Amino acid sequence: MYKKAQVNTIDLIIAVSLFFVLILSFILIWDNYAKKLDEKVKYDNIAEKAIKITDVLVNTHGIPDDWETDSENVQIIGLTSNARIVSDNKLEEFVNLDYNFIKQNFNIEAFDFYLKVVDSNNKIIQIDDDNVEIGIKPSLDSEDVITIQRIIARGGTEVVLEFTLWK
Amino acid sequence: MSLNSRYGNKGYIFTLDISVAMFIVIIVLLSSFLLITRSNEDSYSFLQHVKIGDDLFTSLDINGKLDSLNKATIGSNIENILPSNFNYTFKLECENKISQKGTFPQGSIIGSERLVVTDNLDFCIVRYWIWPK
Repeated sequence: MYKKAQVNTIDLIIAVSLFFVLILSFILIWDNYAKKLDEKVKYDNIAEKAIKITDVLVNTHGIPDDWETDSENVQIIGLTSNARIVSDNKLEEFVNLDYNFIKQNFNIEAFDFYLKVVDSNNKIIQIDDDNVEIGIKPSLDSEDVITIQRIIARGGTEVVLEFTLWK
Repeated sequence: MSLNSRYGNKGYIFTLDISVAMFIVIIVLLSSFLLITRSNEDSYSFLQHVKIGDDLFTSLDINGKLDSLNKATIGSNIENILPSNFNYTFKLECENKISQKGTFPQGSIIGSERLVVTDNLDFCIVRYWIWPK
């Protein structure tokens, strides 16, 4: 009986050791996955917002259609006049809107954004001598940054709208 | 007297138990790992490629820059505006002519297509692939 109990004790110690090693591994792996999942959820959230915003900007006229004539009452900001052709008037009015007003309109109060429209030489286009850009550029310390590039037709040429959403 | 007959098999019950438990937990962990790895594939990045391809060929079509049906001209127009971080290839199939630039890449890239009506009323289908360099 005495020897039998010893064998069981040694076996129990091995089993408990293995159990703790396993639990520790499980906790470490779980923690790692939880962090990755959290990062992915944050990235997906910001990416989804950025893509939806650029979709509305490059595919719609906005609401009302001629919101650029009364930009204070714009409900939804869209930048095109005809199908997928950007309107210079809307672009000009858009970059003159208040930054915080645009954030509120886009429902991205918790984020910051930077938008510019560049030509084929990667230079910011100008309308009436004003650069078509608005917003705050992300810094090197910014954690969540996503840039969406969209190509739009403008007066017989193509330009690239770059929208950066960051936190 | 052998060990088995002297002590029986009872002494191994914890080890057997933990082995079975470990086996099950490892299977669960591996399954979780595979599922999380799959879910980490960046679907929004693919969506960006689809959208920029759609934007590109829509804009070129609107501006009549696909009408030449010439692969060099169209290629030049694409390279002019497509951001430098993307590669592309396309195939423009019309009734009497096929223009193709580049070879269709293999792997997990996304292709799409668009119906194009040229100035000369040629009905063509352009198939294109855009992927990051």
